[in-house]
Amino acid sequence: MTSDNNGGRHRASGASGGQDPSPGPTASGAPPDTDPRVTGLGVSQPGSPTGPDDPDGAAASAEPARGRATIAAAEVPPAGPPAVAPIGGQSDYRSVHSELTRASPASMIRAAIRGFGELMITVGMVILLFAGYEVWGKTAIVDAAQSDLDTALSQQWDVPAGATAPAKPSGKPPPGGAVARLHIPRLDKRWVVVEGVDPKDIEFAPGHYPKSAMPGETGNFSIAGHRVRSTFWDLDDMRVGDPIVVETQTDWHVYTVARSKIVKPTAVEVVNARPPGFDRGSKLLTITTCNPKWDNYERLIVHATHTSSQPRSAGRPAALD
Amino acid sequence: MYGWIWNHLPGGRPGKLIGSAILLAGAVALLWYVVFPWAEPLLPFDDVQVTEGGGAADTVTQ
Repeated sequence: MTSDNNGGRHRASGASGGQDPSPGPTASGAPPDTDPRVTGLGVSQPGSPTGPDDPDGAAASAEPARGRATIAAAEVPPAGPPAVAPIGGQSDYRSVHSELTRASPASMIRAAIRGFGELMITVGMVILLFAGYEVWGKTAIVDAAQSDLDTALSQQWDVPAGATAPAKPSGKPPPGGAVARLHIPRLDKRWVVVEGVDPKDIEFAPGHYPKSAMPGETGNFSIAGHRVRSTFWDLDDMRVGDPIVVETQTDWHVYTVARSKIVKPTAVEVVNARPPGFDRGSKLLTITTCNPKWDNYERLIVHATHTSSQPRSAGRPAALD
Repeated sequence: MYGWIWNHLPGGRPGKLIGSAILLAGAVALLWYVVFPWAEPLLPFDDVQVTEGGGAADTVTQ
């Protein structure tokens, strides 16, 4: 309010000075100067708030007001519009810090280095997160999938005899279907084994090499599984003599670990019907997984020989208790 | 990058914190449920078969 009044007064005095330059400087003293201004204001705006304010203000400080008016006129030659324009249109606004924050070659280099650093930190965090996913996320995913497979397999196997039983699979199950359950007491784990060793087949479960023998058959029942915490992570803990139990729809087959070794990824002979070091006609079980953990340049192999079988109706084998 | 995001998040400091948490959770979920499952088979961690090709599981024998 007061600033508005002051501004109005300055403009009024400036305008009066512009209208009659000769009386102001020549007539020394307040009375000649104040009279035309008061009358002019009184004529143009009879009820304006500056009316009552003007006489006492002008009478008290006529000289300083005039001095300020001349300075203002010298600084801003067009009196009215330019004083309002910077406030209304902000396009010309510049902070007092703009000199310090404006883009310069050095600041752009700093910004580029900072951005690169943030990017590198982000990549590191993403890789850490991926490591966490590989360890914990995969475990949860595989465990959940195994639980589903286990339930499905139980339902499939335990269909009451006679009641619309699914066509009994003669020979080998179709690719991707469940083959058996694999129990390893040493690792305190069991899995549903599916048919096939393609990455899609063994995504959630150990897979049976399709051309190898079936459980209990003469030959080599061969299984591949991931080296993840929910599958064959601790397969290197297996010792000679440990039981490995395979459960099919009709039978339990108990195998005993005979040998474990590390081979090249190309050593396909370990899943042959007669791997090196075993007699022809043996009933074998072979597990392959990757070695070392998190890498793929070797394979960890566990061979086991068949020791006993019993029908599923006879209950769980002693090796599992 | 992060400074730009922080400056453009609305809602004062609480809003910025909440917005940051939401953005972070979204990024982690996107990575965990979409990007990692997609990228994982492309990485050589888990080739478990013995194959004649060695390494990649192109031709699984026996």
